[in-house]
Amino acid sequence: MSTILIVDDDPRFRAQARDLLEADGFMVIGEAADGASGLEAAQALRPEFVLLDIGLPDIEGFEVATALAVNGPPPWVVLMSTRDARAYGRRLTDGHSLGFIPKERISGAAIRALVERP
Amino acid sequence: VIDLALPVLVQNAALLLAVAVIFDVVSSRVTIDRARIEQAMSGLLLGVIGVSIMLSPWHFASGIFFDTRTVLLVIAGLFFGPIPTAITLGMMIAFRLTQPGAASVTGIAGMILAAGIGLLWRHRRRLLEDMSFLQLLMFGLGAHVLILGQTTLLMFLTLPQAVASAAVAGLWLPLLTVYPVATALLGVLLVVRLRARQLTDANARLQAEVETQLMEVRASRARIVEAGDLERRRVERDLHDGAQQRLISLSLELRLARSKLDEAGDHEVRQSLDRAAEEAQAALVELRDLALGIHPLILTESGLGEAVESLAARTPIDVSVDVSPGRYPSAVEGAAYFVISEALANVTKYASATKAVVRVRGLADRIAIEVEDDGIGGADPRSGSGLRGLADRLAALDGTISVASPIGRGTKISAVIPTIQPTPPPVPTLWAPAIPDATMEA
Repeated sequence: MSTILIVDDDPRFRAQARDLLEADGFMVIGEAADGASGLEAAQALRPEFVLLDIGLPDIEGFEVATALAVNGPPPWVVLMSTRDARAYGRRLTDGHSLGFIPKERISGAAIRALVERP
Repeated sequence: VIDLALPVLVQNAALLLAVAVIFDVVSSRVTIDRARIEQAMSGLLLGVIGVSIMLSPWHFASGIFFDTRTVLLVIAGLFFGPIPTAITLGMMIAFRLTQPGAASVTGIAGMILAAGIGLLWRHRRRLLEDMSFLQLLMFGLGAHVLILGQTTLLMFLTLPQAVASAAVAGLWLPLLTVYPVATALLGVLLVVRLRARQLTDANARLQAEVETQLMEVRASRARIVEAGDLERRRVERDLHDGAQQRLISLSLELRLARSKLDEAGDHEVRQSLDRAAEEAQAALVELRDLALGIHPLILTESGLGEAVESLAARTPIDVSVDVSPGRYPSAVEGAAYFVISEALANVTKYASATKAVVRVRGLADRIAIEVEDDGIGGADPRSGSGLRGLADRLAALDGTISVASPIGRGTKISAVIPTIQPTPPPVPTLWAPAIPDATMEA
């Protein structure tokens, strides 16, 4: 079963995402409410995936993704946002992430689709 | 000898007026921006005039001569104030002392009295520019009655009685006719000049005021645009933090409910939940479109180039983008973005074009924007409110927009926006003129 860490500042969203992903066969091994604790949790838990909000209260998701890529074996980073891809343009594809999913489309299937994308 | 006094003194008065007119013409072309220096210059020039009229007097006897110096001095006192008058008086007394004679004390006392009367009247009367010819004439008459009285008294005290009475006999008529008229004429000249100068000053003040106001209006216009931009950003953020977030939560909740229902399997409830999820999704899409139209986050985050590329990617026809890199003030980027966005929207809606080109050139102090298509042309910039609104927005930044749209040959929209916003210039200092009220307060 794939392990995943959810980094988002909204506890209600984290709970909903956890339920959805667990129903889809992911194992949610941790949650973090901001970028700094997200980085710590990733270091400690070594998840296969990190579901990462772009609009975090302390560090922007793009920067967290970059930091995750340089500290040890990098996890698959899936960026997500309340906004859609039009708000970020090329930054979504330039960085160290597997891909981007608008928050309402979060599901195990959507994450797996990014991995299997050619 | 007595018969000669009147014509000679008329000539002397005419000389005074002629020199004064020349002086006036010359000095009105010269502006000096330091009040003290100007006052000194006025004093010197008046002194030169005084000496020049003292060079062609009525010679009554050796060491006794008369001229219109008192006319000049009362007018100097009245119109030029203490400093120029003191300088003039000093020069004229010095000149008189180089030509000693029996009447030098009387002459010098007459000069001092004339200057004193002028200054005293200046002190009492504030609105010199309102003085009429008649008022000036009465002033001249009054002054010369006093001067005649003093001169008569001093001549009888310092000269042999026969000489004194002969001099007074020759002097009294011109002093009470020619001199007041000359005083009034010289005064009128200066009243006119004073009015002209006040008009010039008022004009300069008005112009400076208008310029200041214009700068203020431009600055406030720019501030309004800036405030509008801030407000748009705030609304976008509020939508993101509020309604969008709630709709996402609703979507996820509906999907969770749907997945739990799979096991129980009531078909109708499942269908209803699917429809609800679709509705929530549609609302979210609309809300995002709205937020993007209000303020595109990509513009503030990544700049004009990427924002325009993202805009081009959403436009249903082929759009090539050529934007020179660089960041500009947010109001400028915002205006540029909305010009391009509106132009591309019009291309899609009306132009029947197959492709469009967006070019943005960053120059030293402005950016130049062009949006060109290969459509049917014939666009009328006056018909759409969109372009007019943009023109207003650009004007607030001192930018311009123009549309060229010949029928059958495509449409080209060009806009220029200054990237350096104007700062108000320092307030100009107006020089304080020597003639009007400034010296009277001292």
